[in-house]
Amino acid sequence: MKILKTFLFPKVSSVLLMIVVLFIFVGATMAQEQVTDISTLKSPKFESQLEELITTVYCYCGCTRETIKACVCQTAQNVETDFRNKLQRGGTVDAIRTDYLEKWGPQFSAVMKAEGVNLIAYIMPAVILIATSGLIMFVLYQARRDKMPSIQSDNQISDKLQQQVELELERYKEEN
Amino acid sequence: MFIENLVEGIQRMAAELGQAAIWLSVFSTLWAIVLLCIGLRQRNPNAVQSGRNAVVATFILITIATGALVFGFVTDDFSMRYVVEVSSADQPLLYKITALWGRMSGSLLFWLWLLTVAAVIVVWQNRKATDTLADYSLIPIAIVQLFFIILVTGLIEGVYNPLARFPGGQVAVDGEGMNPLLQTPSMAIHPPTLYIGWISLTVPFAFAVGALMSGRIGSDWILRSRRWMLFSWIILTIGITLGGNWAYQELGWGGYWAWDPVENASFMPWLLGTAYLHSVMIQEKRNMLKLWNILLITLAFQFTLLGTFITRSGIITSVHSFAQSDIGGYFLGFILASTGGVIALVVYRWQRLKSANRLESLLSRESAFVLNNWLLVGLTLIILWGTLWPIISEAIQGEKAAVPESFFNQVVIIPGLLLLFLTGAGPIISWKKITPNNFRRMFLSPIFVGLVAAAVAWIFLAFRAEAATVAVTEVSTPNLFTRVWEFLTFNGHSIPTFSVLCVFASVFVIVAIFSEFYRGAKLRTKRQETSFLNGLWLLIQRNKRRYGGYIIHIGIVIVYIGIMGSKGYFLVKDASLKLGDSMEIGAYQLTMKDAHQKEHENYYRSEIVFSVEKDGQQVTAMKPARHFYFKAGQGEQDTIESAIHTIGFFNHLYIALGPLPSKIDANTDVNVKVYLNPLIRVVWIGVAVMVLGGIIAIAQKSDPKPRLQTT
Repeated sequence: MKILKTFLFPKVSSVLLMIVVLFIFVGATMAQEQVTDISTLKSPKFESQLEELITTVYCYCGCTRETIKACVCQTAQNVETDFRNKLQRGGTVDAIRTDYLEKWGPQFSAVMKAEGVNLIAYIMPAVILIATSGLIMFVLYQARRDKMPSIQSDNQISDKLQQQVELELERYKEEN
Repeated sequence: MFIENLVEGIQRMAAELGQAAIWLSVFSTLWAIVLLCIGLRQRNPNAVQSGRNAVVATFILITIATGALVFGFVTDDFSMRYVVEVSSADQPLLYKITALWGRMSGSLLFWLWLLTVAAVIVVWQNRKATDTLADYSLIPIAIVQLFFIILVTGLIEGVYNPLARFPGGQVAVDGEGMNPLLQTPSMAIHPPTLYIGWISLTVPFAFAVGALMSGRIGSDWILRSRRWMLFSWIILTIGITLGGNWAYQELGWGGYWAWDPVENASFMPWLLGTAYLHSVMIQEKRNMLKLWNILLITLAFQFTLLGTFITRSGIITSVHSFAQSDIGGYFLGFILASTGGVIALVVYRWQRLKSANRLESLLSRESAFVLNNWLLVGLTLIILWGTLWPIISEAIQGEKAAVPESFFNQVVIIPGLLLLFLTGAGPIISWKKITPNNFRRMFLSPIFVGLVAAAVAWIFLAFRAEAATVAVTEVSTPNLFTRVWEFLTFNGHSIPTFSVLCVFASVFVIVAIFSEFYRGAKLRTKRQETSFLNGLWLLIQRNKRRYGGYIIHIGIVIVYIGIMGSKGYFLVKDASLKLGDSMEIGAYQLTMKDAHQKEHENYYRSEIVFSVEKDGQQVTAMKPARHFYFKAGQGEQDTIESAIHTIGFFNHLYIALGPLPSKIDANTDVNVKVYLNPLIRVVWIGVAVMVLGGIIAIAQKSDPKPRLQTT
């Protein structure tokens, strides 16, 4: 129990909290990567595979950031037919997707797996939250640590006096 | 002939006058900056007054330039390059005027004009001020103006003067016409609202810089710019929503938000502005966070420019970006220079930025505000990170990664839910330190009701899990992280955990805030011996700022519920149909009945008529269409005109058509995409409530408890 009263406790608990934030965040993002649409499980395997394909690549028609499923242009329609044909001929989802991305470029992938360089993208939000909390703690610590500035020009009142006046005013208003 | 010559002469004169006005405004703005600096330094009121007059002169000159360009649009002056690029003779008058912000050069001129309007309002508002804070604030505003004036002069590479005429007196026969996606009523309002929001954000920033320059770093600059900040926040809220609504109606993908770079660019300053609106309260009440507030408003202002840099530089592509050029570098340079200037002033005033009070407890309203700021700023930086990741990944691995919508959804959901919880906890936690009594009185009921609601939602959603389109169902290759996730998602069952948490937090906030209203109104009813409703009215009248803020919080909860429903539980189906064919979605059956074509002023409309039935009863007829514009930039272009039918007040049945041939007969296949979007109208209703709260809050002229200002 003694350790709880030491000055180390707040610091240790802060670090633990940060680790928990990091853990939850990374866990959440990595696990979410493997989310599967519940509706696809009820569909036949073929439709499920097609669904996976059309929701994981963007249409190259120019409607930026619209998946084949979302895009309503002729190009998307053609791509979907093409995917359907390739699946019917026995192509795998991975192979068809890889072909598409090799042909049109990796920027048309609508899935960013938490692996390789992209892992940084997923981890960084947790780091940002921790860094931002550090910045705010610094501002607060800086606010708590310092004494009030004592020098004021001739016709100015000090902030401390100002604060006292404000407190008095508050009290007066509350009482009346 | 005489009339034609006269009009041509006036057109030429107007364009020349506009150009001259832009050039003259360079000198008037420089005059304002120099005279204000000298006048304030030497305490010379005549010089300061001259500086103020120069600010007004700049407004007049830029108004002339903007007016000349609008005149060029209205009178079809095809000797002007910009008019040719964004307008055409058959374009409706409304869209001829809105063509002003149709592309880069005109957008910059319009932005500049709004900035000069803001500067003149600042001069007018402070005409009777006995101090020099507002005059100091005019200096940063004038510097920002100068930056924009230089951009529109056409002096620098990448952007041309919007009033420039073709060389050698050439005149085009007709214009190319504005992008048809911009020829919609919501797009006529959406860009100016965003611009007005961003410009209004410049004023609190200018007051912060003015406070640093003058050394008046109390709460004065915050109080004087409070209404500007709130106004900016309200307008940005409206602007962002209009953008989402435009995307929903015009892009045909059934959604309103996809974390597109332009959407993010407008959302980030809003988040920072929201953080600022909260943190200034700590400075006003407790004289703390002076430095933080200055940094925050600087960051918010810089993000308005950063958004322009991101979306206009062409480094990232967007569905909303209609005006790309090479000016990104200039924006980046200005952002760095102006941030450097603020940092230098902060260092110079370091001693005066220290706080007067301490944070007494981590369980206090101050801490709730700090936590709120942490999450809002953190969210902003996370969104910035995701927006810039394509560039960063390209720098690391040589190829641009596409950041999908799901990435943003994953990384913002936890901070987003924490923020929602704080929306209710903040208003009911006591200042300085929470006491056990305060906790029991204020927190127990909302938590209890929230838990009951969450339990009900849990059971309800568990039984209806098959309806969830984004439910977590399968977690393979378990590792340490996924085990944590399994725990968080109730061992991987198909219960949408985040929906349950959202229901808990939403109900908690609603009960907490309504209790606040109830307690306050009851007290007032007792004191004034009046009815409860009158007591409620008096309560809001007494402190519009506080209760307006609470109404905003209720609006936010409503928006969250709408997002949860529309993003988490929508249904989508597509089909290729011929006339007479049917398809089903949910409980509805859609039959393709008929096809029509109709010619309009500058486009023809090709529409399909669908009969919508439920349980064999006709519900409505819906008419999705595509518009084919004759002149759309570089030729004919078509747009999607979705058909939307409201079901049960809150939900939408949404139909978008694929490409259509010029003639549709019985054998034509039409690609149709249908969405059933639950609770989507709740999002718009929530935003309306937020705006209402903002209007109530802004109606308060000053703090109900006037304070002495730190000098």
